[in-house]
Amino acid sequence: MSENSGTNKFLRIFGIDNQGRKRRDPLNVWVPLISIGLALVVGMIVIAVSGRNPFRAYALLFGDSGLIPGGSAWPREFAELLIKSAMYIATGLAVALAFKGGLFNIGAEGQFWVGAIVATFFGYWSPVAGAFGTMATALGSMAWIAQLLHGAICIILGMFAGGAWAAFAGFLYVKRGVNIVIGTIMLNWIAWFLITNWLVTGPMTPPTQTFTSGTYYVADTAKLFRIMMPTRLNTSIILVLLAAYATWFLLYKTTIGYEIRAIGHTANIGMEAPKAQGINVNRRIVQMMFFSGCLAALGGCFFILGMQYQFPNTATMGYGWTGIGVALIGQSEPIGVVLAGLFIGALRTGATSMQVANIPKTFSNIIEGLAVGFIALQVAVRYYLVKYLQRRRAHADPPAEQEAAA
Amino acid sequence: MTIVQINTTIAQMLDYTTPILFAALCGVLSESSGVVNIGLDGIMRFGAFFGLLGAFMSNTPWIGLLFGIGIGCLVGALHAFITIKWNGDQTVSGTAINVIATGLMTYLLEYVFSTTGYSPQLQNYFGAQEYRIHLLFLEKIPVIGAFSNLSFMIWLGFICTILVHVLLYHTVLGLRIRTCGENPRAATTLGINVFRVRWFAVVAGAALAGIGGAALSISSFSGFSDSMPNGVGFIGLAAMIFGKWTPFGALGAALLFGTGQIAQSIIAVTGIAPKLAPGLTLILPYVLTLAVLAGFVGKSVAPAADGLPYYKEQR
Amino acid sequence: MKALEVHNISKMFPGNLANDNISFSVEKGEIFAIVGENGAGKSTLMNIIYGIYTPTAGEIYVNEQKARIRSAEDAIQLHMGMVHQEFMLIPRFTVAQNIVVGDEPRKGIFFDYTRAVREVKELSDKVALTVDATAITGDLPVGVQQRVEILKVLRRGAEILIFDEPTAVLTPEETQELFVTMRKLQSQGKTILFISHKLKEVMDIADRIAVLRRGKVQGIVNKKDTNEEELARMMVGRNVVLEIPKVEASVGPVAFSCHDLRVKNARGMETVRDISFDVRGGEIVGIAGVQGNGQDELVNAMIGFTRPTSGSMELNGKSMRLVTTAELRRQGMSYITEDRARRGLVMPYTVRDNSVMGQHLNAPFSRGLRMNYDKIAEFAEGKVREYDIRPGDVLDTAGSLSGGNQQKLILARELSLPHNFLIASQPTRGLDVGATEFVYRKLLEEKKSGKAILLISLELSEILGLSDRILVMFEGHIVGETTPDKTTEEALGLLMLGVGVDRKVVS
Repeated sequence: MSENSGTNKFLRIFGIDNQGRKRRDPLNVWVPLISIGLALVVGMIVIAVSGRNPFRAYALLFGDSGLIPGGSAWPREFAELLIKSAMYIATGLAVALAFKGGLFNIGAEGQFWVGAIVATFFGYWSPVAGAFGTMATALGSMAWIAQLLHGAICIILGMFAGGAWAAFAGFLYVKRGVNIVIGTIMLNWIAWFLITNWLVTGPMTPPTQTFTSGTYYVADTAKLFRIMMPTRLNTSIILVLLAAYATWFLLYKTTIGYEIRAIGHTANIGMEAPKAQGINVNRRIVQMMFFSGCLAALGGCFFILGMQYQFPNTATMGYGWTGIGVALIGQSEPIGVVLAGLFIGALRTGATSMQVANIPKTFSNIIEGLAVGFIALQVAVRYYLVKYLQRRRAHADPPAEQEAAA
Repeated sequence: MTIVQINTTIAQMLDYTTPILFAALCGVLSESSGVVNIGLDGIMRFGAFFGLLGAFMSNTPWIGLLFGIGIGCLVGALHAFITIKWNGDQTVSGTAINVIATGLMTYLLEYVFSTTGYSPQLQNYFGAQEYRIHLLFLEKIPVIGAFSNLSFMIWLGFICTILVHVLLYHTVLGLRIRTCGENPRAATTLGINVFRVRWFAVVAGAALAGIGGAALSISSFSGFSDSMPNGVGFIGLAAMIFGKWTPFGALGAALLFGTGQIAQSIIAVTGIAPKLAPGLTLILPYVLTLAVLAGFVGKSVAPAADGLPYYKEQR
Repeated sequence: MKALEVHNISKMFPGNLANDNISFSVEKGEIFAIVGENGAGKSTLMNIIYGIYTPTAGEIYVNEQKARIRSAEDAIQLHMGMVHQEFMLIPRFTVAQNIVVGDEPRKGIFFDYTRAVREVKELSDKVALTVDATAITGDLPVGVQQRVEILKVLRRGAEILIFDEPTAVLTPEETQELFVTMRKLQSQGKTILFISHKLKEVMDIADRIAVLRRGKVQGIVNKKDTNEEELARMMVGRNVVLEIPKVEASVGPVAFSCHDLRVKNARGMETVRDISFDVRGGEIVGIAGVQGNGQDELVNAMIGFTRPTSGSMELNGKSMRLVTTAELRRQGMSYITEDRARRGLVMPYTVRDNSVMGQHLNAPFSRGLRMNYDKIAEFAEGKVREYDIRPGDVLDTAGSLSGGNQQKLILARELSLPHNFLIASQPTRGLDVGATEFVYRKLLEEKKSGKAILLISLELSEILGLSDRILVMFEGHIVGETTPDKTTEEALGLLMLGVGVDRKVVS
């Protein structure tokens, strides 16, 4: 079989199979696109109703989103787009992976922050940071090796912590029957309050005379490499693309993915075929939640090691929630999540410029929420789309009309 | 602690409890009929802003309350439209409502008041002295005295608890709501219109969440802040579960969680464990809820058909 | 007077014509049975008559008036009532709440529970069906729950009662009680539609019988003028008595054995009690029994889904205590499931992906963590040819196959696993004759090659035709062991119903 041919794979994603058969419903691509389109239209109406010029607003939104090359500001915008997108793709992948296994990991938010705080800690904690500092000095021009190692350790430990946080929800689900949506919501808030109202304002705060708010800053060796000076762009986008590939590989090329998807198709409708065939469903679910949490936490590591360099006490929630939207728009496929994450990243980047037109930058939330809303309404979207396509086919091809009616 | 201090602390706790209670009641009503509404945090945000808007424009909190109810019904209708009419995923729809609320309220705050962060403060709000319910004869009694000078919204919360209880357990409609939440197919065979019943429960529940939001901006506080409701909706969700999906259970849980919220000031006043970090008390509702769900502290079981879309013709 | 007439009813589900131009009429005061195999369209038809489904075409007349039944409410208005196969009861509600919901005694908008309890008591006295109105429904035995269902229907003034496979969940005693109730209702002038696939019961209770096959009415007969054989022929389309060839095989060592096994079901009731038996290579041991007498729980314990409360099991001489399903399969256990959708296949997965589930961790299907889908496809294509699985494209989803082809896919998978012990749990459930014969042939081939086979079936002809030894299960016990040449279908049937069994042993 031609499973391994790259072009065919690409075609198949868009509903076209190399053998001319439709293996995927092409509506799976159209539904998110139409949802985004409708969301943008409704967003325009909101702007117009509030007495502003929607075309000017959208020109600013997309002009400064980093999507369109050109202009002196573009490299900076493009860098911002990629930095933001990397985090949304990470949380989006987390949610998408869990979706594939049949679970709604609404807790990417908490896992994101757990990853962030652990990365922060190992970024500044003197036994680690000091050792790598010494190593960097000793290596001289080869100091980048220390940076690579320290960054990697922070990310790995951060991901592990986020994974464990999510795996705990998975454990409560398989062993104690705690609904995963509720369980992860609760863990979100537990993580959030423990971090922001305890760690960041207590044990991890430097002494007051240093006049810093938030936690200590991470050591230079813990920071992600910058790859496009003078912008802030760092390696996070590369890492997240690797993560997306790894997620795809895990799902479609490994035994674990085979089992996860089998569970996803059966578990929440009370079917037990995988279990009867000897698959250890409970263990896989906990593992899958672990991987999912790792991905979300990766985003948290980017937030600290690529952007903030400390855990600020001004951090606000939203990365994980956005990840849900990204996963839904991306139809839970890794490639879709990457595209959706770039789109949301672009909206967020461009929205900052909309403030010129008196539009708060949270406007992008409206678009995002509306898009998710239309995806929730996808049964309706599909219904009208099919109806429209049938009508068009009937027009173009009169004999087909009877077929559609029958 | 003096009697006054005790009573003030309790009154303050009730102030925190009320929005949680309304959110939890929203959840109880909606989920009894089988529709999960994690968008109630977002609905509260709508309620908080529109409640303030009504109160601000009319200069009376009563209109604010009506606005809160109205917007709650509208957003609830949106949730019902997506999940009941079109069988959309209830969690996805709730997420959408939460995200839209985040963006839209900030947008509207800026559009209506040209401010960021905070709305203008209200003179006439339910927390103001002239809008409080005064029961002066209680004033001197410890604990009970806390009820001598409360906002109308707090009393409304108690009343709504009783109303929801009576509705669910003593009316015909309530029996039918619970039937739809436990076994919608059975309800259909009995000639009950599951869709209509669920529409009612979701919209009525959302109205309560709308009131809960208004309780924040026109009762507990005298204005809207951009951070509202700051997760209160999710505490409400937790209270609903901790209260085992019953109105009085929700009330008990809301009181407990409300206490957790003001644990800081209790600690400050009493001087016990001054070093205890706020984060450790704030997580209390969520830890307790997880413990209850996991069956470590009694078991809380959701209605059997909770969260499941209902298709009339299904093979 | 005709109580109910059905004219040319058709119902189309996506990709499936469930009812095809069905017509019949039922006299008032008659017990009218509708029989057919699983999937013949009986339940769909009943759901149409009761307004749950909308028919694609056709008309219904009630009391010789054309009826528009758009919802259950309409059906109730027309004095129809349905006792569903799965009870439409809320376990958390009391009996009285369950009986009155939807038509509640009220005081204004309030629900008058006291009156509800009183009304339920009055009703149950009137029709002589005893229930405790204030009991929590979920705590009651199944037979009593069914009584609650019947009372619920009667309270709505039902004159036409539809019973959808009412005996499937009942013990034999409860079935007899139900038939007494049905006759009582008939004597009170009610009309009864009785849906079943159990011919004995139909011959027991019905006045007239309509036979459904593949969504079509095959014929309507008077009970007086027919017999089980004729009904069976009409149900399956040709002579049912499949000739099962005798296959001799030399009996080998014990592959599976269990001693004093006790197992509880999901609700904590002990449904397998002190069972001991063994299965040797080259023999088929059949377990006969009415559904719900502990077979499911026995299988669950054998495949490692539930832990026995006491007793022991051994597979090829090794204890099965605390062994996982995966490990059991590695040690040589294969399992043909009783429910293809629930346990057999992942329906949205392709034929290819389903064909190796359970052995996907073995080479060449995977190496380390990596799946080799090319090798799996090769394997699946081979199996598709060997077992003639149609339509034959390995990239079709399992859910798109017919029941027979799904079962072939399961057989292909389970028989290609390295195994010496096969559990075949209701392996022909819902299959047509062709597929059934195929399954029989494969089971006999297995026997011939020296495999040990445990056959659990509700079909006596299947048990008698295939087994070398027969165990009869009744209320969790093995109440008899025999061989096909020493028994008859009648004798087995009596044992299965507990007739002649020492009651002290059973309780």
